[in-house]
Amino acid sequence: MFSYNKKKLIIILVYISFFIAIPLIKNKSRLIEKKIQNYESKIFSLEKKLLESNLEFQYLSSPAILSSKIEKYLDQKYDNLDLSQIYLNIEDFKSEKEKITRILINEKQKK
Amino acid sequence: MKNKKSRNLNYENQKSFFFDDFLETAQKNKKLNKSKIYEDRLYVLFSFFFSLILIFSISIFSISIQETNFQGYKRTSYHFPLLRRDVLDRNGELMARNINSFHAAVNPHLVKNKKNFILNIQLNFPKISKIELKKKLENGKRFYLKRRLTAGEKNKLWSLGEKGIIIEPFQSRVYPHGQLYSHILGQIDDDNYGISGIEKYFDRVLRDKKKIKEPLVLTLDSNIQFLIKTQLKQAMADFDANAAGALLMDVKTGEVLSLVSLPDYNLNIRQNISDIKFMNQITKGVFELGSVFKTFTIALALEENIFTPATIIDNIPDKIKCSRYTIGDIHNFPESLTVEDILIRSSNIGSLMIARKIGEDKLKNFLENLSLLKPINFELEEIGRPLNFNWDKCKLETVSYGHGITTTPLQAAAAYASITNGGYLIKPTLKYKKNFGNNKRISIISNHTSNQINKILRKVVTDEEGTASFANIFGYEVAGKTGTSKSYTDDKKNINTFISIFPSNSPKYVLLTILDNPKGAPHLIYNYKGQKISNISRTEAGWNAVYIAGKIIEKIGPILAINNNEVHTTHVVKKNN
Repeated sequence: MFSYNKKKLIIILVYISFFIAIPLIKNKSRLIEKKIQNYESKIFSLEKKLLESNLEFQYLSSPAILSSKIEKYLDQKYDNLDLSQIYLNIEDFKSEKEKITRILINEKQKK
Repeated sequence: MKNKKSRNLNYENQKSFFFDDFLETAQKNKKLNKSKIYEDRLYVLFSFFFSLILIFSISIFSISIQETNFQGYKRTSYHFPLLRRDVLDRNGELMARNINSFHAAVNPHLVKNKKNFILNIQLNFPKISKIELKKKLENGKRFYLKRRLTAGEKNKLWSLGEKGIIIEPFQSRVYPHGQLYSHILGQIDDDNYGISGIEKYFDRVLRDKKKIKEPLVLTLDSNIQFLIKTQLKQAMADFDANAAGALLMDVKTGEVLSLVSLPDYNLNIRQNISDIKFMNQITKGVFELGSVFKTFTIALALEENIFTPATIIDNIPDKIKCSRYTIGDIHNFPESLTVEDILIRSSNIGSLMIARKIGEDKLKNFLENLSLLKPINFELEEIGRPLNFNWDKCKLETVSYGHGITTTPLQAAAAYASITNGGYLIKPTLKYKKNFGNNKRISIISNHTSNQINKILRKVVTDEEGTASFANIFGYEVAGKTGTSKSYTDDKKNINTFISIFPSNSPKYVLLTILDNPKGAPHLIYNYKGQKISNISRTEAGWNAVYIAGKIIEKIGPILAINNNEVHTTHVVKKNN
């Protein structure tokens, strides 16, 4: 008899706890959903801004715009890089310069 | 009856062991059954609430995992459902994108004070006709006040606070490079359907909803395209040409890195273009390309082992009579020339004599295999169809040096790529793939013949008698062949072409330049064999199409070399020191 009542009591307690917990969880989940929606809308607007600025960047950094701006605002005249001025890494640059220096020193010594 | 009743009473009062037990068990069972029903109910309620909690937790979990990833390109989201995919170049530069734009419509029934409305519109948009606006308002039908509003115009209209103005959203296509890709990208109509160029050819692909957030990547390179266009534009001005075109293609994969056709137009501005000079010169233009065809004749002769490059052909006449035509050369050449000299000096009669040795069927098959005689399969809508002709009298002779046969510059460049890349056919393409060259290779000539041709083409540029010395740009080992011909629509006009390959010891790129009726440029200072000369009014391809190809290679060479990480390894760029 006692065990039966105990069982009943436990079930009722669980039931009551669920009864209390469910609205709490429901409210909490609603709040979380609202927050998520807020964040999503923020992300949307940020993404929109990103896309717009990306588009603007692509336009402003297009070769035609860049060259026209250079012509308009800079006094320097930009020429093609001479082939001998192109290096893929600093080591190449250093070895090349050392070679030239050695040649120049040798020439000086010969004179 | 009495007996029965009394008997029943007796049973009720009976206290036998059996009956007593029976009654107790029955009562117990009854209670147990009742409690089981309660329990079941509680279990049902329990499971109901439990499932509710489960549903909530699942929903929270699913919301939490649907986090927007705005770092990756693929998951970028818009406030409106995209109708077309982005188009990018090979370096990821944006070429076309759909954006949200607005039209301003007016519902006259919602406009309360029409006089005020007209006044406000007049103040903000003076270009809109007052009379027409009044007429439309009186008509009572909904109409568009202004299409494709700018952000400023939209704000102005909002600030009027007029109920009758309806800001209508729509998607418009924006091309950040404006005119740079006018002949490649094409345009779309108001309903977002492609009507020309890539937009039309890839219309279905670009509208594919499953891939709407993935961009379509093309093989083109914006920097190279710009450099080539700038040089070509300058050439058009220098040589006063009607139109011009250039094509840069990878000889091994067929990837088109640049395709320029001038004059061009701005893709962001809707305009009706009907002038033929605005057509795509490279893919739609069908021309008699002249001497560039001599390379095919010589390549076939070498492949068929009829001649070697050093074979001397004797007794080359100045003129040959063929049916009612007289065929001759522009310059006088020696009577005896080697096969390679015939190509270097560009002798019509020499090529003709070689072609006669080859025979009509073989030359015809060879040109067919090179896909020169039929329209090419390319990812643009604007494709030209080579003119049909019969292989009757004198056709073999004239075709051998590129006359009486037409094709598009794109096809000619592709044929050059196939001949110089080791001898296998390539298909020009605009669609970028990560792994090119996995397809089966169809050999058109042997590797040996291909190398022989490359060496001869290099001599066309380096040899004193060659016709393309202005393209001899240091470090790039340029090889190629010139073509000066008359336009088949107007024989007073020249079509000058130069098809170059570089570097010639292991070709990587083919560059074609074409000028429609270029004139002499006496103001230009040419660097001719180490001497600066000016006041030259010659109009052959060597003085314009070659000159401009040299200028282009000088500009794009370092970029191509750096992109391919070949500066200090194999070829393309050699250090001056």
